[in-house]
Amino acid sequence: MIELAPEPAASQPTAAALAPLAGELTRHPRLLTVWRVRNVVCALIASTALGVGASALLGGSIGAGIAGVAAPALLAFGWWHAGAAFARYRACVLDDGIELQSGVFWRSVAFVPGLRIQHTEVNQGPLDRRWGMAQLIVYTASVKLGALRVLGLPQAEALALRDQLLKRGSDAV
Amino acid sequence: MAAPATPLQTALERRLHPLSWLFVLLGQLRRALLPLVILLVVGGRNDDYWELLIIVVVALAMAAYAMVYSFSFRYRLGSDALVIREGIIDRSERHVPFARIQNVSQRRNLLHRLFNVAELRVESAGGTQPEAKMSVVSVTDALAIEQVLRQRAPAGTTGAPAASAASGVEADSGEVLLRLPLGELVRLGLVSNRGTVAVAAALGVLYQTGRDPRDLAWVAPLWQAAERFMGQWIGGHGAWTLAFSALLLLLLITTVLRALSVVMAIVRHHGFRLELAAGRLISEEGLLTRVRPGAALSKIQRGLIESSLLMRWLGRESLRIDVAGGMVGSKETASTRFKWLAPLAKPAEVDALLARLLPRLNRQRSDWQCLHPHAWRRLAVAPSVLLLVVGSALFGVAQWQGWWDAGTARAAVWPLLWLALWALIVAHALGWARFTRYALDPQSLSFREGWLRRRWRMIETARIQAVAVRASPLDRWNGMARLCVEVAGGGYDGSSIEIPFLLAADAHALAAVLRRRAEDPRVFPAGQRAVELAGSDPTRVPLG
Repeated sequence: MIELAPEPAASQPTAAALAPLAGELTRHPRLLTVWRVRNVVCALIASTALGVGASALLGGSIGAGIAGVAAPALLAFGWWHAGAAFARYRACVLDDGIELQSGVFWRSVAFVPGLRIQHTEVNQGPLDRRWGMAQLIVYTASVKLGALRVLGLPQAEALALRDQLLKRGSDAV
Repeated sequence: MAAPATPLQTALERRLHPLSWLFVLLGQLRRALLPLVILLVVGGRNDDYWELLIIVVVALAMAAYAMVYSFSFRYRLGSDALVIREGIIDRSERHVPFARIQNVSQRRNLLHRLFNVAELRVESAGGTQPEAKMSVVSVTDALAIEQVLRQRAPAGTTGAPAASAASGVEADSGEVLLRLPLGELVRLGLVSNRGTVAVAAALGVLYQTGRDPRDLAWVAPLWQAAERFMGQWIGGHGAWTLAFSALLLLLLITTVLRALSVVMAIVRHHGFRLELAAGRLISEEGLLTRVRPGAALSKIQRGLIESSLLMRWLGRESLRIDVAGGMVGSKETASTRFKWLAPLAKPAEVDALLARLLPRLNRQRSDWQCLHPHAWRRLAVAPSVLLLVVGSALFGVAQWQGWWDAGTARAAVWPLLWLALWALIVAHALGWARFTRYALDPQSLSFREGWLRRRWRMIETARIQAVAVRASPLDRWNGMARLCVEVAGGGYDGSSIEIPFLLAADAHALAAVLRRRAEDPRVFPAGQRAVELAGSDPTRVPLG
């Protein structure tokens, strides 16, 4: 159950003593680093698998050749994809809810009305903790869009946003 | 009944029915028993008795647990919450506030009915398990608890609780909105392919055990006889006779499967009754296991009308609803979830039910809007490409292996078959696009779609939980986008409403209107088209 505060969010200083968040949220620059690392690892695994598979089927030298071509291509693609995804990634706090734009090829604009937020969760992985980064997960009662993940927020902003959202939420179903 | 409605409304703790341990034990055993039965029927080659011993010991331990658990289970109907104490070593006391209770449902199988008891489930909005499961209480207690829980839930959940407060348990027998006589049940069986699904599932289980079903003791002689017969038959007759008998066989199999479907429909839905009492819907059905799920009218999230080709030939449709409350996709509660307003009814009856229970939803309307004019092309692209690729690959293999003999009549069959498949894809796409429409008004969003099987999905805009616009590369290339709108709980089929192949501008305009509507029901002026409304919306973001 989410507590309903009678005062509007604007008059309540948040825990981190920030002004109420509105508009576009900060993207922590390390989010790009995390995505790049992830894509590079994926590219390495994929090209290794491709090389091993091709060697088994077509012979060692051909397999090595395929891996030699695929690895730089996949690495370049992964590097570019992380940059493009970061450039397109945008979370906004609007006066009626939260909007999240994401995707490079498959694009999506998802919106959760502030009144529908059931509960929120701030998550930090080991790398996130190191860089002062956090993700905020906003839950609603729906199934498919039940959890809206805002990635790569500076920790203070994630906590402030969480407090801000809790103040205006209700659990209307 | 001294107090008007609630003989149970005391501070006293109550216990379960004295026979509860039996049902707890059976519930536990059933989970362990199914693999065992399969093992005994299908496997079972070694004669080690110590395996049996282990099974007996485990069963005894289960029985002891069931005894202690059910005798230590206590519940109390407090002033604002249902309090449940359970557990032996790990004792827990749970307070389920009446305000959070979404659904109360009853389930009674043959054994329950024999002992005149019922399993009662209390569900709240979240989680994957029922908030409270009372297995078992006597039928009179179950009805009384149901009654109390409904009356104590907030007014919004139950409609008018005060009206029914005076009439006690009898208030349950409300106005009957729909019954399914036997004739309807037969029709329901005929239009469903439940029999086929059941047979396929049985074959699947057999396959999982890793044994050829033809080796089973009771199948083998039948199979051999069938093989012998087939061999003689095929040897002694011409091609046309064979084709005819194959058709006959297919007809026979279909008939048997449909007959099985009819039997299953009767077992499942026998005596179906939809009742409305004090703002709550109750449906009761079942020949052997009687289930009695309930749902508050105010918690209905989505309406879904389905009509397959067979249904239309019989002049019937089905109407189901999704109710808020967790447990979506949970097998345990699947049987007691409120689903059907009408498993099968005439279209006029379906519309009447909608008008009566969900007056904001309406499908007999003239303001249906089209998708993108090229939606059918977009729909046909993926299967066409797949067909082309698979067809070319097959053709290549055939050429390579020398199976393809271009001069003969037999070779011409394959391109013809390929063309027929492609024609089917195009026909499906055109038919789908011709029927598929959406409609938005101040109160509701509706989406109808389909070709042979038609579906109408309808939600109230005031219940929207989330809105998303998505676009794949192919969508963006065609200037299209997909609108996903979610209400609480979500449907059994994924998104609440998902409209593909919209004009990108329409999708964003719809999203902008719907999200404002979700936030504040008052901002939506009646009688305007979404695109006009969203023209000046500053938050509108194109997908580029």
